[in-house]
Amino acid sequence: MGTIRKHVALPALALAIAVLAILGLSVYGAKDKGKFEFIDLIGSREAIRDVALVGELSDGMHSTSFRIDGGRLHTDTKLYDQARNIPAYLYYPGSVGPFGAVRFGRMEYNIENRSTEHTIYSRVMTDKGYSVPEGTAEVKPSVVYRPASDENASFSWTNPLEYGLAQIGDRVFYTLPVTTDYTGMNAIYELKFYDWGFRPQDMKPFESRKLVELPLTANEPGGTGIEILGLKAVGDKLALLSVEAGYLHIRSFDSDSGKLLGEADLSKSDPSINWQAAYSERYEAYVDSQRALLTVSFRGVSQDAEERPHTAVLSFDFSNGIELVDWSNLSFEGNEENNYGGVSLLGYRNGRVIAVRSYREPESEQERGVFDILRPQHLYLYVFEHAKLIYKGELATDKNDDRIRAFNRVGGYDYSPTEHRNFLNVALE
Amino acid sequence: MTLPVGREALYLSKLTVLVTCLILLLASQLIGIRLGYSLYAAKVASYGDGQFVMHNGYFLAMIRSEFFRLLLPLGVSRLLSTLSLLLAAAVTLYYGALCERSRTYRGIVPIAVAVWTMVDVIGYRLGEVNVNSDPTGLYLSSVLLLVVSGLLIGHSLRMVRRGAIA
Repeated sequence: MGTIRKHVALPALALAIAVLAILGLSVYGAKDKGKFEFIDLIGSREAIRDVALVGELSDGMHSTSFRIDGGRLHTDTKLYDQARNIPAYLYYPGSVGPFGAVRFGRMEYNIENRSTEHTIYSRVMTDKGYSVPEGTAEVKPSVVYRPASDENASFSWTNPLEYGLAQIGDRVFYTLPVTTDYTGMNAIYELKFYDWGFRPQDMKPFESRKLVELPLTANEPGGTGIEILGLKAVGDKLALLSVEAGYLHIRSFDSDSGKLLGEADLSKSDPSINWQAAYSERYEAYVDSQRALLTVSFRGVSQDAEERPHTAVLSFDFSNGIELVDWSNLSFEGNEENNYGGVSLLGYRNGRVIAVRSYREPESEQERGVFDILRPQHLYLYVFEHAKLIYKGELATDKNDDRIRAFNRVGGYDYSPTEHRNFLNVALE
Repeated sequence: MTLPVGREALYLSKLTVLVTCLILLLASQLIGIRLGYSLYAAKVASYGDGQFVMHNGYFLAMIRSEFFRLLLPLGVSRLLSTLSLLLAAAVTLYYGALCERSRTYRGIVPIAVAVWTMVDVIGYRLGEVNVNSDPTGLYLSSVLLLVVSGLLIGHSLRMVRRGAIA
């Protein structure tokens, strides 16, 4: 016994270090043990062989980046040394986010208008999860508002003003989403930003340049009416969406010269629909810049008690002017849309429309989470061919386990993105 | 006192034992945490048909809690920080005892520096999630603690050699 006691120090040290190493390695190894599966619910995986879905499932402390390519799922989990601040408000890529700002890459823009002047504020997103002001630009449009009804009505626009913004590289373009009550001259402006808070005395170099003039003569009494829905950048071209004579038109402009490169008039494809009455103006637009494709989706407003509202998804090829390559009326089942941290993507590939959506489960009887946002979420990948659903898959993860903390909770809940895993940077490739 | 081994060896062996005990303490706590999690998860699994159990929950608990990340760091910069804290704690404790025995009261100064830095680092790491400034690797504080530990070991060896211990 004495011999052991005399010589136990160093072996004890070795034992302690071994225990620590084993514990540390087992925790580190557990980072890959989270559930991450891609399940086929309807159809065969052949349908997604030519499209890849990439993204990350992250919380503040770790991030699992995934890639579903040719039907196979690859994941890679990374641990952060220090908690990262995730932006608390997660935007859909195609539409205007909460609080009215629109995000392109790291830049955020929001617009204020006071009668004859529109001011566009830009902010840049920092690594710490919030954005800081960067620049301001001003536009003085020459449109005249003459509402048909109430004289004292305040300005109304077809869509929130941020729908008129588009960004190509460092350049930002803006057009006003006017309704049929406006006459005069609208335009697509190229904005020039000055440093936020330091308005220069001489505004000459910061005047927005009129790239394209859009006369609103069709809104004069006796005209057929024109409404601008918004602007979108496709590669280095600008797509202008408008409704003219009650029908959807899309025009493609060159962003340097303002030349009209092409025009798509949907009344030629299907004159039977009254577009203005059938669809809601708030479109979602997705761009595949590699293939110069613009995919726009419009939500249908059902007129008829029996007809289920559907979503019209149109895809345009911008490589040579504009060509309508697909028009599908799709219906996503009546799950509840996920507007906090949700994902919504559309794409068009080789004759198939691909949609990625996240949905919340409907209310169940045994509802444990008191708040709507806490219902379990599912991320689905849909493939439609000729408007028929040929494939539906789900990316199943452990993400819904994070809600357990909020079960049966009576007070408030912070939804801290540091402790809730969310899908970030989901994209179709 | 006359000893069959050099006085430095005596100091170093005692320091090694102190560090070993601290590491054994840490290891036993971590084993306790692992067992505690399993016990608690088993208990929670018996409620409500198991809908309260998180999959891979032990891993998530270890990375989401700042306290557990202090005890079992999983990144290089944090591992270095924890090791430097451990070493500094052991060396400063032993040095304090030697200073008191040899009545070298000016030893309080490096001890104060080390303790202040340790408290700062632990405070920062326990509140890491709420910090608004840029993320840091804590390398400056780790290096400072290692340098101070080295100096204290040097001074301790000198005190032991001189036989100043009463």
